[in-house]
Amino acid sequence: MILALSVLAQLVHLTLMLAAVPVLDGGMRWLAAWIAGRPGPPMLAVWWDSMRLFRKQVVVTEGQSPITAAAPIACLVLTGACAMLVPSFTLGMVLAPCADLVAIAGLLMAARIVMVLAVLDSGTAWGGLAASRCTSLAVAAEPALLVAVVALALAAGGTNLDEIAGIRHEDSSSAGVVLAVIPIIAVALGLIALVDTAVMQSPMDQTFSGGPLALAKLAGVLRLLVWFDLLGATLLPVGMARIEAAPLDWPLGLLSWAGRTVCLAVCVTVLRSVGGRLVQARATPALGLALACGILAVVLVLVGMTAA
Amino acid sequence: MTDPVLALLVVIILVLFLLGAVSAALPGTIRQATGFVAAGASGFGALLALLSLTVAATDATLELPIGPPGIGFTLSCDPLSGFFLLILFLTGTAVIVFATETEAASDPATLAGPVVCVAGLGLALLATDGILLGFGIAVASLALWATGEPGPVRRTQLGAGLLAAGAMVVVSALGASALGVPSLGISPPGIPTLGIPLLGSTPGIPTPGTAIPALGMPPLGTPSAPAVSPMAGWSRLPTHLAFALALVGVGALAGLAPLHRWLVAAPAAMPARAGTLLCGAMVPVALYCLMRMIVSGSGMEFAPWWGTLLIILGASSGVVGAWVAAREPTLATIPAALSCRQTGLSVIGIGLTLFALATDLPGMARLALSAVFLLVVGQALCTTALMLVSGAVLGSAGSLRLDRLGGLIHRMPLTTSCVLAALFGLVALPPGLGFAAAWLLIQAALAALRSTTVLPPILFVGLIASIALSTSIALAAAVRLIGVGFLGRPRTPRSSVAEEIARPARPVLLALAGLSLCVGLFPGIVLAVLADPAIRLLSGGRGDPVPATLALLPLEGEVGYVPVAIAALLALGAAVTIGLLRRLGMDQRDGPAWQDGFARAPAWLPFGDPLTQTDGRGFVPDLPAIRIMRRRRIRLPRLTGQLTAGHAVLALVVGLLMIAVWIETL
Repeated sequence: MILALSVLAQLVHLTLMLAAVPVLDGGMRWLAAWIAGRPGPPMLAVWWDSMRLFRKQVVVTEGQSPITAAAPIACLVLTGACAMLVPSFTLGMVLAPCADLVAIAGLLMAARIVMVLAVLDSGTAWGGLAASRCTSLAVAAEPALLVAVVALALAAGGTNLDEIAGIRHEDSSSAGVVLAVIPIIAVALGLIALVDTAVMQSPMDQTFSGGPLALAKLAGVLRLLVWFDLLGATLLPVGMARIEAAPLDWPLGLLSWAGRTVCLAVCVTVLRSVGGRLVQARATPALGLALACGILAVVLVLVGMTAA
Repeated sequence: MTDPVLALLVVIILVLFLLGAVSAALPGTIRQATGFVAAGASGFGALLALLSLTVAATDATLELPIGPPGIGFTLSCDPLSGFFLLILFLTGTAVIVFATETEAASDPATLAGPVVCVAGLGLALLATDGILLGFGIAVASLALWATGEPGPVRRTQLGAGLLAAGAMVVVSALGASALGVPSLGISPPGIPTLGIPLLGSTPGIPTPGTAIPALGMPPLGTPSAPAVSPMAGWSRLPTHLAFALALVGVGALAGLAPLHRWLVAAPAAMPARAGTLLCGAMVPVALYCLMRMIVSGSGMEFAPWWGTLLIILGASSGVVGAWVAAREPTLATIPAALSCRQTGLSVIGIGLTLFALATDLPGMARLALSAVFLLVVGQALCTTALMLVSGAVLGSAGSLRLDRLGGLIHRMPLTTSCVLAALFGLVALPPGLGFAAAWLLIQAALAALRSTTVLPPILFVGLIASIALSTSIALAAAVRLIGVGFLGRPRTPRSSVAEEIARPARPVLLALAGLSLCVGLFPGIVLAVLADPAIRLLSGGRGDPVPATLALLPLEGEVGYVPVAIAALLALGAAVTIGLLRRLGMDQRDGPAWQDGFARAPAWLPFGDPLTQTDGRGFVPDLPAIRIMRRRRIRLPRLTGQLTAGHAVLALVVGLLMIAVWIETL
């Protein structure tokens, strides 16, 4: 019974992710336009754009290799795998034993690297510049992310995402330690997510066209959604259902997930609108700050563990 | 292990010595046949090593009728030797086949160096005493020295090899003399040496519950036993000296920072086959020496600061190696620098193991040693593939510089695929081999910290950040190598007409790439089958065996990293996406790349303007501190030429070592 419920939860989660991608992108675009005083695009604009792109003829760059052709598919698949592993409304999905936080970070990095290789394959000047900038920022982002992950893992007792999210349900000393360092880790992960989704984007419009461009854009929105789910599951898993209580707790879990996602989307859109290109200009210091926050969180967790 | 296996291994080594010695004097066709015989012998050696690991080992020994007066040399093959022999013979087979197929018919000296090097290293791995171990390393170093181009790099390579060999001999002598054993490093069965169970270690490995009378140590595994037994007075000094000497020797041979410069530069100054053996075989043997000496079941005898020192050196080497790899300009030096980085991560694992043994945490030792063995496998398979590819690219595209290559994926698709697979095994991207090793290393570090007293918190945070930094910089180096060297447009006419690697040599590359992918998908099973006996040997038989599961498990908990599941998820997703795209049936047409509005290149630049492509700079951020250190070189022309920041760090480490010894002896 539990197995069947966990499979069902996984399928519901997958449907939720696929359905949320166009709505999230459309909603964030609409909100950004509203803040700027303009009428926003329709909520499902990304969906119609994708359909239009899929109908268009694909322009294959002269001299491109199979890597460029495979990159959008690989990027979407890698990001989709992350989306499948990160819980949204319930814990205990069938893929939960594979949801290692370090592995998810690696998959996100792999999706990024695939696009960088595609850009390099174009052999253009801007492609080389964008690739080197993206890789250079990734050098700073990964240590910051891993240190934050270690802080969470130390407090929760493991690097599995379900364990980390589930620790808040338990009445233990670890839960107290996690709660104490949540704001610091939230700052660290939030900064990394901001830089990752806003700055470390490869110039897709100049590399791909037609269907591959649609896939790359969908992967970009899905990546943002994965970050939202990751932040929600690690930092604010309030109302997240447990598989033992399924399916009675699922409506509450779905509501809490929707609330978390909307809150995070509003925060990110407001930050992007108000900050303008501040994040782009100050990406490296932001990652340095994230690393410092991660180290501080580790030290605080250690102090908490020693005191306990 | 049964006696015939050991005897056959010895025969193989003798045959390799013989074939290597006579190959240079043979005519071309016969030399090529000799090469195939040598490759067959090496491959048979790998099979025997695999047999010794999978069949219950009995630690057979073989007395040799030669040796110093009154003493006979003894050869032995325990699980640790067996694992490294498997690695050595696999690498050796690939290199010999490659050399035979590509160059043996034309160059008389092609085979001699690699074959003798493999034989020498095999002898070193079977040795039970310092003299034979040092002799094997020295012979292998001489064989590689003979193949290199004359110059300072070649001299340094030989010097590093001889230093390591000499260090092993002196270490064994120190251990033997401290015990009063009237021989150079031969410890009779049942008598554990002075914390240096390098030589004849197998019989002397203490088991839980047994006391070590020679040192007055408490029984291993006793809960109330102190973690480290402080030895009063100067009686501890030979152990410290032996450790310091061995660390310098092994560090020099393995390219451990700050002694890494020669190893990075060496592959550019010698043929690809020699560079391959240097990075893919000799460096693992150097790690074998360190493991044999330090963690041979008696980690409790060692001072804990040794582990700290190893972790610091390993972390710095991991970061420095990756950093150098991200900045090196040639296809030969980048794999060498990545090899330095792998060595650094392995040394971190050995340092963590030392801590685990000293504090009786066998689970943590298992994790750390599992990471070390996976790193060694990755180093052997992936570095070998990359170095062999560099030789093929040099012959085909006429250059090793990244900024003179480009677009090789169109002319050398199979080679590029193998390079991608090899890099995938070195960097930490799931579900690759490198990620499995990094994951285990991180879990070992986490387990260390959860035990609260094992590592100082600052060291731990630095360790985690170093592993992550090394991982991310290595990823940047890998992207740079593949993106600049193999993707994009050709930068020179020669690289635009490069030809695929010779057909007979292709299976070698495919086998190396396939093996690294397979090990990355099934690391748990590979570790359980091949490395578990060695892990149990190194941890003194304590702790649980490595579970033969599809998942890698952390110290606590039932869920971990499942590479097969991730690979299956990715394959399913790719199949669904490709199926949907095929149903849509998109039309395609060719068109020029968008150049930000600039016009197409003129007709006399058929591959575009080469200056508009990246040359590989800017993939890692600039560090002003590095520039300052480089500018302030102190020139000492009458001595060694230059005193660099690396030497200063080395002097600092040695100084700290001496201060620590002095404090402990007070």
